[in-house]
Amino acid sequence: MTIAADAKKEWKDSHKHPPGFRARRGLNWFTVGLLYSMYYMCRYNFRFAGPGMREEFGWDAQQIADLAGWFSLAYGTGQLINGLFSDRIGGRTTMLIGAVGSILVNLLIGFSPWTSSFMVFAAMWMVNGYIQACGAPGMVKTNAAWFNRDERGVFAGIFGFMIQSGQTMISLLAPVILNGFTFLAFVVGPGQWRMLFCIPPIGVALVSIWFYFVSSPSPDDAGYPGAIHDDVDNSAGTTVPILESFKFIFLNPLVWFYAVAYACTGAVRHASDQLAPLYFEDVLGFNMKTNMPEIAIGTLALIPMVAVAGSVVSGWISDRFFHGHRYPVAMFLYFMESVVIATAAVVMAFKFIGPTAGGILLGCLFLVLIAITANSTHSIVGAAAPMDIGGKKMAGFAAGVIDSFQYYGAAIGLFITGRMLSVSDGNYTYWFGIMTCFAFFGGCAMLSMLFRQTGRRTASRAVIAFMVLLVVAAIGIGVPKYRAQKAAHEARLAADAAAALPAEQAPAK
Amino acid sequence: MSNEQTPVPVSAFQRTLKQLCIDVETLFECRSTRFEFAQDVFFAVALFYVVHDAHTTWLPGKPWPFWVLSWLLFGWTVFWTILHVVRRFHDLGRTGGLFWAVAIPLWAAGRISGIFHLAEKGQAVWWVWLLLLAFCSWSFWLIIQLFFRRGTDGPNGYDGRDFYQNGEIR
Repeated sequence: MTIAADAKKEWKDSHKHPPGFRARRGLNWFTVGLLYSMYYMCRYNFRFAGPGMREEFGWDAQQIADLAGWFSLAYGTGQLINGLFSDRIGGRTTMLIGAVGSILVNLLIGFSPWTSSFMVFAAMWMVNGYIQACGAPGMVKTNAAWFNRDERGVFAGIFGFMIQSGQTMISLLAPVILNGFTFLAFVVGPGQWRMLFCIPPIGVALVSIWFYFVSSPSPDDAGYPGAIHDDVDNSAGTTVPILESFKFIFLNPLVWFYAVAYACTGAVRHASDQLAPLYFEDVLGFNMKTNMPEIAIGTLALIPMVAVAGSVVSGWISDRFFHGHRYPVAMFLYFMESVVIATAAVVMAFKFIGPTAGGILLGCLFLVLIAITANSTHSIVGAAAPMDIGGKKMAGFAAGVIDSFQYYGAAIGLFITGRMLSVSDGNYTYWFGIMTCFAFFGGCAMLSMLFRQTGRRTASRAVIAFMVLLVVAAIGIGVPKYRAQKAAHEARLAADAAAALPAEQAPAK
Repeated sequence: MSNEQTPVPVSAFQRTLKQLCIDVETLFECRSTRFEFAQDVFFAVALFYVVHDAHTTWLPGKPWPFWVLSWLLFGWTVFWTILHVVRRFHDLGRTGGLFWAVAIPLWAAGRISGIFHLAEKGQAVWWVWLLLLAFCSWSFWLIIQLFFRRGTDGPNGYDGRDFYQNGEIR
């Protein structure tokens, strides 16, 4: 009996790799992804140690926030430098160096007697930030060698899942450590925040040993020579001299289009993630400290789920329908994001979002929609695009450059949003408005790239000129308006203080 | 431009891993009839509930190696179920990747139900249950097919081991 032609074709399409390759790649991806998610254990532990450190050392919220900011700065810069090194020494070695370094720094913080000094702690935490930045370029570099161009989108979606799973792991482990526990003869008392820097490194160490034996930097090293085809010439191997990688990536305009767009992703994603609890309290009237309402818990739990779903689906669409080209999908997502957030801003301006049943539902719905669009661009622009540009040889530095901009974008976005919220007495329409601008700007960067890649250079340059105009206009109009609003805000505060003064002095009289 | 690299030496451990992966992949490359599928799934579900019951009644207070063993058994039931779902889809002449179409909506519906405590609210939120049912309808339809639809006659393109043996594909 003959085999149906369609079935045979489908079978052939899904078996374009040699026997056992997909399982071996899955094992490699699982190992690399597991180590990357373990990196998060030695990074997000700080979030849980913060209250204990404040209590013991008397640091204020501003100092804790500064530590997080300096970590981001070191992390972003580390992405640039470590990405370059990963192209020279290979992704696998880079990840191992990062894991060992992060274990040592965390143990040093956990056991060091100098932790109480703010400056010493800040220095150690910045070193950790720099070393942690070995993870993403190393992982992207390793996986670039294992995936064809039209398979990388879905990989990028799973990358989003790894990030979420790393955060979940430390979120589950940290309360156990802080509540105290006993394991065999090992006893940890309640409230020992130093243990947050001593126990997670054990997990990282165990996974690093597994990683050392099982992971392979490329299919060739695992017995599958020539299984993956690349757009970049790999005849001389998959590692390159630092200068060559630097020149190729730095002079590649595509990298900069993606970097600008990714800075916008960072601005929206971090502003949305980090200010959401304040938005719940200030706008929706939730009590987020002691009695979190169910809908807030539900929304915060739903966000990672929809984020992963959005990442995987957008990656799959770019693989399946756009032959591995990320910019058309990314452009659609950015513009879609700007429409969603602009709608939220309008709805907010008309005061439809607030502490009413309908207002709360709308407020939470918009947060979920923003999470889908922001995280979808996060995966395809931050993970898939660098692999497409740099290939097996230079994906590390490409990822480093692009990813570092996410953190710089986040810093700019949070800086502006924080100040606007402050001078407007917590008017969250500005929050949505600023995110809309960044999302629209990201879409413009991708539109310009689309024109460029389809041979319409003049149109591409026109879009760039429009973007420059937008920035100039934003600074030219925004800064004076901010100053005016700040002056009005200070005047209001002074008037309030003056009004409160006689009442306070009244009993004295 | 070339993708051919200078050959790199492959360690003995990596060769062993490669063989292991070929063996695992080959496990999935065959078919399973309705009866075999029902039998294997019944076995996996029975084992799952025995271990689950042991978790709540017998295991608390027992030494940690028992817990490790129980989790290994859990892992085995999951692997066993995935394996037979994939094989059954192959028998129907469809890709094993449809496993995700069965698993993901059901998992997501379970999570949503858990997050919003829907079970406690019962019929008061009937419209949410209806939405979740609609969301999982394709998964349910696939599950019905897995149990009741007859497999295709003769080779259907998913008898992977035959292909490997006959060298028909490569």
